[in-house]
Amino acid sequence: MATATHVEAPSGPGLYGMIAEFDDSEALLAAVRRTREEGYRNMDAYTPFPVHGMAEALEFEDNRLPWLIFLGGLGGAAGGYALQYYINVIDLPLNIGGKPLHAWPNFIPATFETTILLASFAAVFGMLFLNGFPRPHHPIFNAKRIELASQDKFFLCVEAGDPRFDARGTRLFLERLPGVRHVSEVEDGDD
Amino acid sequence: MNRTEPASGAGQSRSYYAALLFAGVVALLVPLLLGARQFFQSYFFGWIFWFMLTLGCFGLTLLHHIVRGSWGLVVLRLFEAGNRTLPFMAVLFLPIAATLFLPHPTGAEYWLYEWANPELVTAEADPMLHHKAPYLNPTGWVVRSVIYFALWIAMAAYLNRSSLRQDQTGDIEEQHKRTNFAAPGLVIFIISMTFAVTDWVMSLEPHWFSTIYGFWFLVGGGLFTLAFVSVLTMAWSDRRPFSDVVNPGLMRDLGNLMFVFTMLWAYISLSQFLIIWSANLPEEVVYYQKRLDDNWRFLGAFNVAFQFFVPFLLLLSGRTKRTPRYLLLVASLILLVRLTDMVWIVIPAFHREALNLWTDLAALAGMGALWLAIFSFQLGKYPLLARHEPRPAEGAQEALEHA
Amino acid sequence: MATQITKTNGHGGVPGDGSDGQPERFLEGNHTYQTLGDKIGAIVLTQKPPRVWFIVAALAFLLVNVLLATITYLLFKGVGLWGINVPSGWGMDIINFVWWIGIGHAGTLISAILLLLRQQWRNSINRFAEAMTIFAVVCAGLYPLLHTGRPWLAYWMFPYPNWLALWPQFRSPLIWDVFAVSTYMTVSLLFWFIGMIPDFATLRDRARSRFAQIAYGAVAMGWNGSAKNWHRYETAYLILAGLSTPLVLSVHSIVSFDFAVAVIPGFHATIFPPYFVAGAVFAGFAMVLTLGLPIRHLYNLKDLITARHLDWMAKVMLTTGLIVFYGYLTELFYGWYSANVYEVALVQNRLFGPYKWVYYALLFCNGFVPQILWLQKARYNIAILFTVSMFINVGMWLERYVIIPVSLSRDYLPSSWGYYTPTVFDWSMFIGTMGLFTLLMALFMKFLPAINIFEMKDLLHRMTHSHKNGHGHANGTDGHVTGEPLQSGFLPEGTPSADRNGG
Repeated sequence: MATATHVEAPSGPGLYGMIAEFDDSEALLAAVRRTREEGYRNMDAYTPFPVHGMAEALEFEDNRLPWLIFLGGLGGAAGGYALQYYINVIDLPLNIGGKPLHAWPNFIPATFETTILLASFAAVFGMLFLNGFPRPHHPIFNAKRIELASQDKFFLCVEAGDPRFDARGTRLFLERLPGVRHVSEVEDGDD
Repeated sequence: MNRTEPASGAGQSRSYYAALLFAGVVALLVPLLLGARQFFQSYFFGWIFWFMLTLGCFGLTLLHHIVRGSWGLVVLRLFEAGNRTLPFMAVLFLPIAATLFLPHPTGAEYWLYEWANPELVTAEADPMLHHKAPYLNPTGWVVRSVIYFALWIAMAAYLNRSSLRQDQTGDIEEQHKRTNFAAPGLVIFIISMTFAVTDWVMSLEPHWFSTIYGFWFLVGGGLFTLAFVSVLTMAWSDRRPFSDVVNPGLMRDLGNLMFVFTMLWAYISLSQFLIIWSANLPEEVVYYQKRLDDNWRFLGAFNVAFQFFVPFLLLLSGRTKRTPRYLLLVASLILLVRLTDMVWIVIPAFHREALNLWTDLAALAGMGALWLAIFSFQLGKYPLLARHEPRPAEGAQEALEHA
Repeated sequence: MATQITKTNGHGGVPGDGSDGQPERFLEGNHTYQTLGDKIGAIVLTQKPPRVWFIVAALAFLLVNVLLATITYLLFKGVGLWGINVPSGWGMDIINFVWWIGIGHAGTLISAILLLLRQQWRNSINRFAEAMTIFAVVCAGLYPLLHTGRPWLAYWMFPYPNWLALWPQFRSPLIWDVFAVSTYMTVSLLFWFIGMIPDFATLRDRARSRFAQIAYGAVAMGWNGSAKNWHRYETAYLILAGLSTPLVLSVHSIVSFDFAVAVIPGFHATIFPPYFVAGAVFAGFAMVLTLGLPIRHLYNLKDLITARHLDWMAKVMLTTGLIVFYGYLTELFYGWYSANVYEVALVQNRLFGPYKWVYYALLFCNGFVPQILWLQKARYNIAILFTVSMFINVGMWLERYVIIPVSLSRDYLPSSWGYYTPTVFDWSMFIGTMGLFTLLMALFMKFLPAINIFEMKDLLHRMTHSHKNGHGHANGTDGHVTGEPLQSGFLPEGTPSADRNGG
């Protein structure tokens, strides 16, 4: 289950959040922990590679994906087997090489393939869906220098939707974090 | 349980071993009640079942010395104690070898191996066995068996000694020597083991053959051994010295290895079955016909369900691999099904009139008592944990810690 | 300035790397996050391809035309154009199908298994190997498709409701193959694609031309590097790797069922599934080296694809080669042991029959030549590695030749024996698919990030991180994964990106 930390920012013009830039992942990780201690909840980190321990630091947990994949696999297995049973036993019963109509050993390979196929679909499309992709115009792209989040910089964005958020106070707080490079406002809006 | 109490049956009193050995021998003799032939069949079954554990320990020792994963280091001493059962198992093998040379049992033409009776191997009596006679004959079989045991015992002794030496001297060279030895060693092991199971088990049904047989036993033995060491480490996870080394990383490794071997077992078993069943050639399909008749098909179905589906689904979950008690349960289940699977593979070869399994189980228990007595005695001889370093894996250590 | 090509030290150039005289690291040279992105991104974004690239692409394009011409003529005349005829109904078309699909196994397998085992060395070869997989499967797919004779009716092989009451026959391994290959193609594409999403975002943010920004932006799908996205992304990627691994094994196993389920001696052997899978990995790694060694040289990627990678790949080839060799020997031994007239005849046919030279060449290429990889010197020698991998490419092709025409041309009835000879169209088709494969690889090198950027950054991070902690980890002997120069790239002041403010 997604935790309550994920709250949509208010729409319309205004502030999406306050963003702070760091040079390395350790500084960012420390900053995230510090920010949570301060009581902020709605925030996200933007990094060029997955930083281990970041999800824990953000106390972010989402276990829906493995279950989706499991269900996908289960559906693929049941569906694949049922399909073959329907075709070769019910709808088109032919004697092939004297084998029984319900030749279960021969149904295993295709069942295996459909299992993997549907589980993989669940993995990929489930991930895209849960992440809200495709979404080419996220408000975070309004942030200055955010294009470096895919290069070599590390960002922490405290969102305006956070109950403790206050443009001045949050900025002051972020600016005092150790290792911080820049702090700037992120405008809301999709373009 | 007392945390400081040391693990293993080490330091047990002499009477403990004597009792175990005595009970073992008595149980082994129980099948004599149904006659000498039944005795040898049951004895063979008990022997091969436990010998797969010995071989599994040896194979995984070789593998460990090549890849040097951190999980292998924790259980290395268990493997090594298993290796040291090799000479004893070779001695216990003697009665099986003797069946080739004993006079026929009354009411049957052979004890275990049809091809051992020269009258059954003539060109007139059985052209197929006649064709195979240059390979399947008592002399060749004994010579080969001696070679297998000599190879394995020598290789295992070399590796065990080097590993113990390194604990004392801390000489890192030993480690490289073992790696260089184990890589070709594993090749030799796999080839010799393929021929060994062909000689000992496949030739119980001498007209039948399958080229995947060696892999089948290799994977079965590996799974057996992994489950066995998982049971021990999990059961001793709160005792010294395992309480210091049983951590989530080790448990996940053992769980994942059992998971992989469970899938490999299913893969190989299914491949063999599917190919033989689909082709439906008379000389091959008899093997499965025998094993899928009314007596045996339920055991086969049980094996499929409990050697594959149940452990597969259980080991899929991360929680099983995080909780020692769950991992212990799954590993015990795998041990149990290794037993039923071996029953299903070996016993139908004996063409018994009635389904009398109790003698086999008695022999199995007896051989088990002997095996475990030797194993626990061997285990007690040296410290339970090897102290050498695992191969450093770039960043992997961290990945494990973070994950 | 967006890009700069880092000067690299080449391997062994880092002082005090603590390795015992050998290049032992999976990332070399003085790299920072920025230079990694520069180096890999530049190949796609700004670097003009080396002249060889144009020559290779042009040649490959020529061969693709040969392929197209062959296919056109084939559709016009029918599959009789090939050398297949009774008793060898399967010939080079199926040999090539199996050969290509085998090559197509290394990519996804390398990537998936190494990800699951958390082997850092995968990072620099996985993307490239995955691409190889997909292109090899494309080439492979052509053959059975055309072998059907009427490829425009190929959709009949899929189960769909229709008024002909026509359904696939699931007791035939050939239909398993349709499911296996199409699933493999789909899942490999997905695996490849989601592995590239973060790198597309990197390229999107580095691109200077509007077109490149929009194109990479579209495929990046709005990736912004958020921790929440990374979390789900890593879960999906890891589980997909877990699904791909048994999938890879199943595909070649099912290809082996095409043979093994039949009753032709030489086809029908229970060892086939694991032996085919090992052969596929063997062939796949050989092809990775065949392509990777020249690319590594041409694009100067020696600090990303290190000698250590080559050593590992050589070891995998040695291992899988031994399994394949084991397969040959068991087939010989049990062929005799079976005491089955036809199996024994098959052994004789292979050893002494009209195609015996194919069999001996196979044993030489796949059985003996790879044994040189036992020597560490050979594993670190580029010329030897390249030669061995070429032998394996040939050997794996010969293996399928031994399995298919050699078995088919002499089965149960001596009166129906024959001799299989490929025609010029068999060869033009084969060479044509090689051209197609090469062209696709060339285009991939030009337009897509050939090395996984974000995972290389992660690797760099771990290397510097473990150094900072002063070897605080369980293994104290990891001196060779770190190096002083790497840390120098970590300086916060004056990083190369500082002047890119505001873009």
